[in-house]
Amino acid sequence: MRTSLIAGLTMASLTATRANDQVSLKNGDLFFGKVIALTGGLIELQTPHSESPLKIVNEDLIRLSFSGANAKSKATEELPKNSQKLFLRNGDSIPGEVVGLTSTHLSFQTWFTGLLEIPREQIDSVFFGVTPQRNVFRGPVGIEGWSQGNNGRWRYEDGTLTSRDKGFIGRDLQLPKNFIFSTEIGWESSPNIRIHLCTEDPEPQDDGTSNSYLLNMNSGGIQVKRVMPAGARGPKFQTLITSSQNLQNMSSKSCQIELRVDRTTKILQLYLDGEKLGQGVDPTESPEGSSLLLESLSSGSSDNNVSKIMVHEWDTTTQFLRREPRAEDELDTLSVDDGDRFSGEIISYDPTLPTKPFTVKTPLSPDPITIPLENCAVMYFTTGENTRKSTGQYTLALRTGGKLTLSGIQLGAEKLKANHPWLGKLQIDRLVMQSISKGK
Amino acid sequence: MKKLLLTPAIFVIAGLPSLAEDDGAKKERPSILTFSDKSRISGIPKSVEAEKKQIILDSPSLEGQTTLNTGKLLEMSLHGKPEEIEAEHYALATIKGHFRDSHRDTIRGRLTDLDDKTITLETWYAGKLILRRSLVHSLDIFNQSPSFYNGPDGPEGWVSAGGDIDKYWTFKNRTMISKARSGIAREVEIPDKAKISFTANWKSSPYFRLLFFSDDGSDDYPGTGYSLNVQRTYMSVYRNAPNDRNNDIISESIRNLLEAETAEFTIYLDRSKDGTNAIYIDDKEIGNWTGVDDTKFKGKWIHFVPQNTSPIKFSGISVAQWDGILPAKPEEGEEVDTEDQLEGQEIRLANGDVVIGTVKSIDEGQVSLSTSFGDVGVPIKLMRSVALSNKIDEVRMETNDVRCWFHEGGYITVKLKSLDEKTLKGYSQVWGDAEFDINAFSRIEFNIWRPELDTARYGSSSDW
Repeated sequence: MRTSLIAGLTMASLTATRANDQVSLKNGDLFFGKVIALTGGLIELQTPHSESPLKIVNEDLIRLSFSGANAKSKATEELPKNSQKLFLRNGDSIPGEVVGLTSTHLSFQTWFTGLLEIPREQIDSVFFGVTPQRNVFRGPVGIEGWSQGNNGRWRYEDGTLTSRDKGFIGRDLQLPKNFIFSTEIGWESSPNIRIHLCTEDPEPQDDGTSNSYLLNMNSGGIQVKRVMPAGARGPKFQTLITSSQNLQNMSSKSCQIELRVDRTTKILQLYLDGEKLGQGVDPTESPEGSSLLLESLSSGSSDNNVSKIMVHEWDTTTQFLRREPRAEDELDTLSVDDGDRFSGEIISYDPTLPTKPFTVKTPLSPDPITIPLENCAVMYFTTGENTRKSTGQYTLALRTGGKLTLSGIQLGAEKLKANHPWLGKLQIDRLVMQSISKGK
Repeated sequence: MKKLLLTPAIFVIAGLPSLAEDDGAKKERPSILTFSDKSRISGIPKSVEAEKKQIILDSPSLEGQTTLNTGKLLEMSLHGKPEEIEAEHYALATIKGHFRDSHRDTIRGRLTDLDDKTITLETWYAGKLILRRSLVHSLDIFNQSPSFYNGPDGPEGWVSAGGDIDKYWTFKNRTMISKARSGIAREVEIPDKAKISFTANWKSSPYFRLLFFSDDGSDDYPGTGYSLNVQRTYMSVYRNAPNDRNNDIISESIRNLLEAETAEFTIYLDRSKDGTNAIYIDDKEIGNWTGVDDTKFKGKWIHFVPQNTSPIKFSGISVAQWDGILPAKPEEGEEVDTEDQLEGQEIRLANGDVVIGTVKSIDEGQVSLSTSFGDVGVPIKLMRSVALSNKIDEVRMETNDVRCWFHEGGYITVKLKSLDEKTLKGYSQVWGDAEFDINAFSRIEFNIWRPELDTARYGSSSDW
């Protein structure tokens, strides 16, 4: 009874920590509580350790993280979603919707800071179809909740699961029907790891790891295979996607891998470090499990590690950030979803004509071309000549994705008032704020 | 028994820092307050009011002086410099435990009086402390200042045979966790009679070595020293002494570890030729040995060496004085009050002799004893221990008790009344009210009797 009481209190304490805003300073000081104001070089924080709010000097601020769990906050998935993201030349990125385009400015509507009128020369690009998907899992944040039987080959440290030996570790991630799985894989000498997705259980069963999708990574490349159910006729494995990408030569000894699984249409897409490696179709009935199993094949002499595991629900209309390159700095470029690119001058945008809102003047055609919004993938703007230097004291990370460079921050109960080096004075809804860090 | 007033012996105080230097040091290394929600605030503690449960902190991270609640404060580190003293002897009183708590306070000073009710220690940090003898578990006398180790507090002082300590070991919550097979070592003065204890946690099965009296911290296989080897359900001890034949000391099955994931290991060492040594796991004796002269070991390194890559945690590492008495075995029956059996006190001398008598006086480092053979004079520096009552007695747990850790190792429990930049005022059932120089302590633990804070303080067994 006493143990369970203590465990309960401990969990309550840990939950309270996670539910709090967090302030990290350069000297290692760390504060948890509710940030009630940020003004005049001070962060005011309500904390149980003091009757009155602590006044933290933000001169040495590293990061101020907002919990998103305070009374007025909404869960990230409840926040308004935008399918477009605008990138400024200073590296800032803003989710919103293009609502107008002239020869000098682009009008960009956001839910958290209103309408932005942005000079074209300050815009690097606008990406379309980037609706943030519901986050299903983000981790690991500890060894709790992971299952590895009795062999205990995997260990956890600083957001990373590591194994030097052969062994499994698994977890029921509640994988949705269609999902995007991404993770960062690292290795000490050579990659040798398998990732089993859609397994019935977070532990290998008597018949092994059957009825799942297998992502196999080793020095020979990467393959995605369908592992057939136990007792099924024919071969146990069916290769769906294969790549001979030489991971061994990667100087960073790590890579970011992403597998998109649509169990409705049975389409799988594999990405490595943001580049699409291939697509495959599962000719069988899709596995229905919701668990993940990581299998290290290391022979005991070097580490395999797995970090930054993210699972998002996938609506399959999302294009995600496709990195089709800019054609030329001196020209505007509009890429469409079939891979075509139109370089020239993007003349206008007319929201009253949804089937052909973008007009592009290109040397390929005597007449301007109109592009339906649904076909737009990326829009690049000509590099301007007189772009002012972007300076800011803070970087604000947004919960819906994106970031802004700011200075002169004043945080109130509902809004954050700040100066953007190019966009001028902004009033930003506090709901969108994920963190504020010092410098770029 | 007559209680005597004594002439203070000469203490040589070396390296007493000037006030200015002291202030400078504080500016460079502020105290760090750690709370149960992982909040960590640095600053100079200006005062603590225990009854109000408040501390006033001057922190560079906060505007002005700030009043903080101590309700969820776990500890406060301190960085004052202790006085370095030289004396003709060093007395160490080990206080009896608190109710159901295995921690034992130790307090050091110069023995200036001893009677059937009290033990008087002269200390640089709290003046004269008159201890209630019934609450003192043991009293030991040393020629050198006894050195303890309690940790691990962090990587400072540790070295790894692999070179890069961060690569092979993680430190958190006063625990060190292996990442690979490379061992970790530090130098610790091991007293003539010592108790080395630690807790090990493992995930699959225990497979590690503990080395002590080693002469090389940079090598997992040093030339000399003891090696205690634990491999799943088997334990062995190997002794490799300089200019001596090497010995397999113990080979024992430890099947009780088969299902366990943690165990507390304790090694009792009496380095003299006739001394008895023993190893206990979870309070059960696994083996003992005698008849080896371990004074010839000059190495001071103690190592923890994993034998496979599965992570293993070591915590609660303690190197402390030992009174030379092994834990009583259950079949030995009820405890016996030696004072009832003997006429006077049993005083063990450095040469192994035992004198039984009553203390008439202590004067200028000399104890005058009345024995059945007449009066005997014994220099304190030739004494090793004084047998005290074995009566079961405990120190009360008090609200506002704090645990104050000495720079030299060991700690005392004090019912805190107040604390300022120079002085800690508090009460103990053992010595009453006292004022302590804050420079004596390296850290102060708060809320020590609140079990719900233990996980935040020590971490949980599932926290790897």
